[in-house]
Amino acid sequence: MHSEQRLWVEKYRPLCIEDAQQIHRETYKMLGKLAQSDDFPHILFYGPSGAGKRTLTKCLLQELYKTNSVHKIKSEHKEFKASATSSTIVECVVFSSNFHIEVTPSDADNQDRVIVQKLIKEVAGSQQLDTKAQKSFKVVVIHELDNLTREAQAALRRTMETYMPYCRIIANCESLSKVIQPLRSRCLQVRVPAPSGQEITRVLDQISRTEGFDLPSQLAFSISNYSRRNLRRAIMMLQTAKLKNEKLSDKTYIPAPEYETYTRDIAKMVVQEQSPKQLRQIRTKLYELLTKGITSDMIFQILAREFLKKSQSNDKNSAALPEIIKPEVLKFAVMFEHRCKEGSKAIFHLEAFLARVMAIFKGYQIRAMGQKQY
Amino acid sequence: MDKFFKRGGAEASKQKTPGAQSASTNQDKEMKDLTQTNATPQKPKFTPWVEKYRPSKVEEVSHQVEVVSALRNSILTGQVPHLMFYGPPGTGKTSTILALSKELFGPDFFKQRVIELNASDERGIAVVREKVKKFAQKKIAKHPDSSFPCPPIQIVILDEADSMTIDAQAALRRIIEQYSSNTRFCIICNYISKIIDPLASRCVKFRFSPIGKEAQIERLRMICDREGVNVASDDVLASLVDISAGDLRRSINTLQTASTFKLQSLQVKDIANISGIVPEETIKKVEKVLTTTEGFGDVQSLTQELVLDGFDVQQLMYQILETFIANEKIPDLVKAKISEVIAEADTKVLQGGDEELNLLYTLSTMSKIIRGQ
Repeated sequence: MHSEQRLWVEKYRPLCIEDAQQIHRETYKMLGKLAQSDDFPHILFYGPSGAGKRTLTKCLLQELYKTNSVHKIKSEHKEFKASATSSTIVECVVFSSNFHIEVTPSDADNQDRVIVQKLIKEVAGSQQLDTKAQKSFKVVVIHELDNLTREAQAALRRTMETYMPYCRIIANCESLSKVIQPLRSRCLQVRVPAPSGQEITRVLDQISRTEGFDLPSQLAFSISNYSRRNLRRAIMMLQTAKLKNEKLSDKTYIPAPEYETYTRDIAKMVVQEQSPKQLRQIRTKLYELLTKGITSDMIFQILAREFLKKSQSNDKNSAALPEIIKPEVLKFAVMFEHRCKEGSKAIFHLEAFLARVMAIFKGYQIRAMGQKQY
Repeated sequence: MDKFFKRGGAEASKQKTPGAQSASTNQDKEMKDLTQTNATPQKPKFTPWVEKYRPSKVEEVSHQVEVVSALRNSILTGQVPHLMFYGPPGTGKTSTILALSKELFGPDFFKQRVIELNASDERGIAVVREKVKKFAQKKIAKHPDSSFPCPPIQIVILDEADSMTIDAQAALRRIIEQYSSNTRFCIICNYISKIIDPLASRCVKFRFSPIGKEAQIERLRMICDREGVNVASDDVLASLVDISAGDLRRSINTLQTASTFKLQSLQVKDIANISGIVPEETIKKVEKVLTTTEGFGDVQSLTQELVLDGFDVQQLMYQILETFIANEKIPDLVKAKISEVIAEADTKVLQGGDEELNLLYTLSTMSKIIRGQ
């Protein structure tokens, strides 16, 4: 009964290289080779979310130390003083096994530098405790390296070189461009592409077989389509679908995450009516999203994707805009997204963007009407 | 050299314990470490080649001819000014100052006379005041029995100084002057513009230029020989150097990583595989789509594919630009326009803009420009 409760994402995550033959076979092979040699570099995995970066990290750890105890992880809450003089306390959660620790320094927002300086240096500076271990170094796993502030990244630079005899860093990030060059040049950069649609369907199939239910191939296909090549999401979708329906058929409705449907509604509202009144209604919706902790980048992404989607003439519900104004909308999406990053209040820029889209769309409609009349 | 870094590592971990709340447990750990290292023979430690082949003499520093000739005199006379080294990463700034101090003081006094503070140490204003001041206040005498020049000075190396706060930099001003009788500062940074003027004007500035192709190849070949790495042809080293764009550390690191995979001989494609550059076929595909496509949809699906394949967008844009600039069929004006679009997108991505949106915008604008709209 207990095992039933587990998330399939965790349950079916391969934990060693032998199990992980489905996706990224070449990468695993390469890492396996690398783990055996004594020259083990720092590693930086980069790729979109749900591509398998964490799984790769776990398998790699297993391969390095050849023991299951790398997966026996305890979590610990740590506190650090921000500096010798100030009284600010920086908190973070550290996951550790006997061989490695895992941190997400970006959890500490602007104080992430402290975590890098204190925690990582502390761990990196002491030697591997278990001398019988396969490797003479420990591993520090840093998640979301791209979300670290510049200062924190700069703080990592020398640490990575000085403590190399004791410690290797395995970092993962979504976009490499946000990682400073000096860090990149110290790591072996491993690209982790998102699995292809076929690979996702294969994994889904396998899960359904192990769980003992029928997964119609049509449904598997549409799940992998909806997931946008994000394996974690695909598996989550499958599990939700299975939880809601006793039996799965081709036409089973695949629930999208709530916030996505909600954001899509906003896009639809923009296309339906262009008026200050409508904009006011949209504002409440945007606030709703922002207060629920949906980041502005995500909202921008979903909105832009909706507006730029290939339009199907028969679909009344779609928020897709006419081809001809798409480039202009895109231009403003990029512009406002950038401003949003520079500025501090996301709502201004989101609204400005939507108002702009309304204006463009209205202008297009008026022109189209005019052409029809003459 | 090697030894120094190990000892330095252990030292630093001891230094930072005060203040940390887990001081006692940490010491316990260290005790254990010590007993264990005594009990069992050490496994051979792996050092990065970057550290292993750091030049130990100023003369050995690659490529930086002017810097070397200026510093040669310092070593002979024992007169060192305050120094400021600036230049892109991997050009030998840290190596030069380490080599210089080693030549000045020799291994015996190196540790006493040199303090290295980098961005991984806390460097707020308080630290600069306390740590640097304490170090600078030490009285030192000339050691005549040493075979090295060993002048009566000590060196404070402030590595990666561009990540210091303005306040901390300002605090340094007085300290530099006050203790200039026996202390020299070496400030190392990537961007001189991030160092406040009063600090910059107190130092002799040296610019480190990106290391040229020949110098890099020479260095890499030396490492290959010593480490027994087999290289299929000279092209391999050349491509290494091309990828790293003047950053010697990057080429050495890439070489070392590459050497861990292959035992027989290194090929050009091995280098390409691990260095994070986008494969040629992908760029060709982008080029084809951009020059032939009519609609917006094609560019859209191409972008999505590129992003999901996890390519580094900046690298991708850089390579696309290279290809288009090399293409002789494209008129100069179009090339100029393309460069502008890419430059703009590059800034936005660097400042944290969304990669997918920016790439989509860049590619769609490019295809429009190419089609002459």
